[in-house]
Amino acid sequence: MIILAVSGCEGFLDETVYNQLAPDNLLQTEDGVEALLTAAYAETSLGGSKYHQIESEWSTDISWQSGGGENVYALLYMNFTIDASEGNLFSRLWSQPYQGIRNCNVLLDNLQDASFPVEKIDEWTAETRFLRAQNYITLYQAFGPVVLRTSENDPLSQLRVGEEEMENFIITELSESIDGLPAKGQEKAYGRVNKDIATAVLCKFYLNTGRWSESAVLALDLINSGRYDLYPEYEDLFKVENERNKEFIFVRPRTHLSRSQSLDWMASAFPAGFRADPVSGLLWQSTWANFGSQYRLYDSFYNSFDPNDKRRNLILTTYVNTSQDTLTLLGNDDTRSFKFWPDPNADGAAHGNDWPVIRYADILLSRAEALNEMNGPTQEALDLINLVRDRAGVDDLVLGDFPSKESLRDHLVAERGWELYTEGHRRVDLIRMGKFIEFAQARGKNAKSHHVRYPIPQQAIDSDSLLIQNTGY
Amino acid sequence: MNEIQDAGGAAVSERVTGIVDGGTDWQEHIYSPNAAIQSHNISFSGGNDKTNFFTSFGYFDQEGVVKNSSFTRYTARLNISHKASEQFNMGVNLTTSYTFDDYISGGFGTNESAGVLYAAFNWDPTETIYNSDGTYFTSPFINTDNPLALIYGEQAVSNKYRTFGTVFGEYNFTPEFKARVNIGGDMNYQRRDVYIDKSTITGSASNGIASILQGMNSNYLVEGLLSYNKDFNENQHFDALVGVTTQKFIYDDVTTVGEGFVSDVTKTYNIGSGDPTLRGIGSSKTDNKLLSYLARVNYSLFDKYLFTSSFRVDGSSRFGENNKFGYFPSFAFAWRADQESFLSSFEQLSTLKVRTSWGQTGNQAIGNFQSLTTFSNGPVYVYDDQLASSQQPSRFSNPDLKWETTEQINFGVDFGFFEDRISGGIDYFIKNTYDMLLDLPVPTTTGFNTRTSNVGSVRNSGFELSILTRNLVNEFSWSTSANLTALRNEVIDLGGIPEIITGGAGWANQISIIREGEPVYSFYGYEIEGVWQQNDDFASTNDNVSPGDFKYRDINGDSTVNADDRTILGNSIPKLFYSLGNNFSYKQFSLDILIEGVHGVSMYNNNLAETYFPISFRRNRYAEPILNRWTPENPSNEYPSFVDPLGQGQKYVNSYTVEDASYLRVKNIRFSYQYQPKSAFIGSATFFVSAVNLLTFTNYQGLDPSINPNGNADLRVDFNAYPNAISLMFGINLSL
Repeated sequence: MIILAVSGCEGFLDETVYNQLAPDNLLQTEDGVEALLTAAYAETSLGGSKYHQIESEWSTDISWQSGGGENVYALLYMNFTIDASEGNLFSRLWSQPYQGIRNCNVLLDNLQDASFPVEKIDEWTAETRFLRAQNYITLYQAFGPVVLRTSENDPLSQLRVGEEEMENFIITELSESIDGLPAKGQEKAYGRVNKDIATAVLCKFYLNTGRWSESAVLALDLINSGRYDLYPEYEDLFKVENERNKEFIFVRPRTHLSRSQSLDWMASAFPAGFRADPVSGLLWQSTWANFGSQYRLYDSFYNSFDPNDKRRNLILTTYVNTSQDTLTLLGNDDTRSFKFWPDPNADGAAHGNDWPVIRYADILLSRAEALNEMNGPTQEALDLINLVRDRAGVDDLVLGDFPSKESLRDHLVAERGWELYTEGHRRVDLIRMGKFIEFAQARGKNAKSHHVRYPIPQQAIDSDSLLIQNTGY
Repeated sequence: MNEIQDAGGAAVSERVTGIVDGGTDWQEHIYSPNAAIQSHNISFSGGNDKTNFFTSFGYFDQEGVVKNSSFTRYTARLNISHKASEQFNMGVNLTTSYTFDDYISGGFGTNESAGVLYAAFNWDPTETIYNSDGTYFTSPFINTDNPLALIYGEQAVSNKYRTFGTVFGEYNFTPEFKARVNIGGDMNYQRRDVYIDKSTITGSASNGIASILQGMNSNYLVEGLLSYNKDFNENQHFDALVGVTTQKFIYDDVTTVGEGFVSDVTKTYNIGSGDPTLRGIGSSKTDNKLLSYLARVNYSLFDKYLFTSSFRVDGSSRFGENNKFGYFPSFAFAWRADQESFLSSFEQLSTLKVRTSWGQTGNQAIGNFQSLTTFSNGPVYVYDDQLASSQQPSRFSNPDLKWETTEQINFGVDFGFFEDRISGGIDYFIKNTYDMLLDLPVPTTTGFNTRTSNVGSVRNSGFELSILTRNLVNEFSWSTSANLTALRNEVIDLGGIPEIITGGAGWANQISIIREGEPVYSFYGYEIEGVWQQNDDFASTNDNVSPGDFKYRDINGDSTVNADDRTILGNSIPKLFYSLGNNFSYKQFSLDILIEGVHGVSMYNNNLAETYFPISFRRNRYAEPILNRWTPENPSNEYPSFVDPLGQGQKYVNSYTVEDASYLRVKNIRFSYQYQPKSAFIGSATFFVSAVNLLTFTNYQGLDPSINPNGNADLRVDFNAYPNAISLMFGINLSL
């Protein structure tokens, strides 16, 4: 018996894998490549979206937060007391993009010597390079230049690159991916990247890095393409039934079928005990969730709108609660953004409204801003802004009201707030326009110049001796 | 609470406007006041000079401490041995059991994913149970479901079938030389059914959710042993053993989820009747294997000098290609000094034995596949409004993984005086664990956070003392046993990493630290110095604090309290364990009392953390800090005002919430009477009554200082713990 047992042990301790795949059986098939690419898309799409939408406004003049588990860290953003230990900096703004980058690098490493048809490899490569660049943009906007990883074979520990290298890398990657990407409508599915999406992302990246003429050119390309237009009714634009409209250029597709890939904004927008909106007639559905964490708008933001501005109509100012009392939110810094109008099929917090990352109105305002930065106020810039204002039902701007570049820039700060509130733009907009610190100090916050970047998360610093913290933290 | 709201601590909408229906003590409603336990056992044995058998049947039934929960187990056992010839013995030992567990959902979930206990701890006591239409009331202030809805609306049952046993054969070539083969198996089949009905929030949103998990967890063992023993002469005894053992562990499961049911009646028993578009399935299979070679030699000289040496070669499938095997020797020596003639004059000394040993053992307690690069299910994404599944790298693999080794050195003395009326032992041990299997941080820019690695070392050292005294040995007898263990745990080396900050519970994360020179998983957080008072110098801090807020210690003196001011607040490894047992007996009566305790241990009390840092206003909390809170009229330096509990951010882990969990407990009292009738049918009968966990003395504020619902024994976290019951038992043992 013993002799049998001994001789039978050759290879006995080899580890058999039944329920997982290995590089040599996953990446040899098209479905396998698609599966890894899907993981790259998923990490890039910033799941758990309400954090990403609100994170960009807590430190600005639009939103604040109270209650719930989120309050613990919301206060740090709101009061400019954030430090490197804040957990979301790591899990959502650092780790998730780097997981997306890892998935992209694994794919690109393996596509180099794969035996698929060339045109397939080219399209996958372009998609993957776009996704990787998009993750680097997320990191760059949060932390400044970071460690640039372009292959799984890179050394484990690396220094952060400089600003110029970071920006040039992103610009090169986006420019080159545009060539290999399919035209709009030719992509394999809605939710995958096309030439216009990469163009729009590069246009915004040029804008955010002060490359005004490059940004203006790409914006004009999109405007002249004829493929995009403003959706007629601002109030209906964000409803789940109006997705796939001509205004949304780049969306993070969302579904009520999965909390992680849903838009969960409304669960923190409903005020406590919400039962009805007396203005629109919206009635509470028991299938919806209402969280202790409450996202509120400052009255000063609400009151800055023109009373005729239709964009203001998506802000809740009164409501009826469970006791049938009508409560007033306006006057208490407590109005709510109902922009992402509740999805009737929502499951708890999971609503299906797509999250627009770049829409046509943003491109119009971006070109106007770039033109103003280049040449000062011009009729062409005002015409672009007036397209957006016409849809909102407010009066056109006239050139005579804007004597200087600064005056039109100040107006664009406000206009972008009215147009794009709670869509995840405010922090980056204010930083670009030089208002981020100034506005925070005006609100009485102890904001300093270094706050335009978040601290590198402590867990990341602890893991890598070459990683240097941002100055000021 | 309204006074706190008056002081600005909550919104107007959160004001308590009345105590509905007299309020509700939620914990009273979820616990059963008198949960009964029954245990019955019956056994037979018999045989002849060739064949022997033993069989037993057992029944155990326990009502849960939490309502609508219970546990039932039936066990049957059969042992047969047969002597086929002078040379050949064989036998079989078999045990089979069936367990039915009607359990409650628990765990570390919060808010909408919380279980019954979290709900009962956190629900507002001013609320009522039912709406006027008889449905469960749901609170606008907390999105955890009504505790009673969670008890009665979530039906979770597990049916478990387990069979394990061994077949053995033993052949004696000569009286000294034997061969033995063991073949064993342990098969656990389990099916878990959970149905969440429409009376709950989640169940009503989905029209009922049914899930079934079926899994098989089994292992098989084949073992061959050769043994030889020989007395060379009357002063020298020798025995030796060599053997081979192989073991294979297999786990597989299938899960099925359905929702959208016409009615709650069919529960999980017609899962196909649910909404066809909302079905979920999953399956898994993994295995791992062990292969060991072992040898052991015992040698004794004059029955005074005892030598033992062993050597094991252990192989595990979990390690890297070139590191599957680990080599673990051991040596031991004992000297029975009381056998020496030069000590025979010390008549009071009845036993004296001096022992020392050195040995190594291996540990392979990591997950499977850690040395391999594989891909597993990644996050879902949305293509064309449909969910798409994905694959992504499972881990940062480590092909060099090898066995973790523990080296133990032990010195001990066993002693006995006055014909062992006083006896005991004292031991000193040092255990060095090195090449520790830890999930080590790697540069996070790789997209991975950790990699399972062999790193560093930890030392456990301490004393063990045990004493047994037989105080009275007459018709009335009394004996006492005492045990004391002192333990020190220290991280010796982390392989160049300064520290690892890890662990989480509830809303708190990064709660513990592994740092050289400190015990593993030491609690890491803020020290509370007191409470800010009205006349304090607020210019001394840059933090946004008001009178009535906690005053944290600013360790680095930079006038702001942040992550750099965290410090070690205690750890989960008791410095001292002790127990004291007394037995009194008189004729057929017997009384046993066992007292035990631990000292010098801390636990993170998450419920206390939720009292000091409630995530919303209308949540139940510990009463004392609230009732004695800081107000301008009651300038407490102990309890804060609760007006702005989160104003200084996330400081859950602090010197208040990391509590001393030392305790002294009357663990067991048992009184029995043995009846010996002069009857042919009944051999003897013992009647007993016993009480378990009768009394506990502790400063710990949570439910029970001895529990640790966290999976890691070295990181004690009290969170949604299932309470330890005080139980009273009555019983009879009969032998025929």
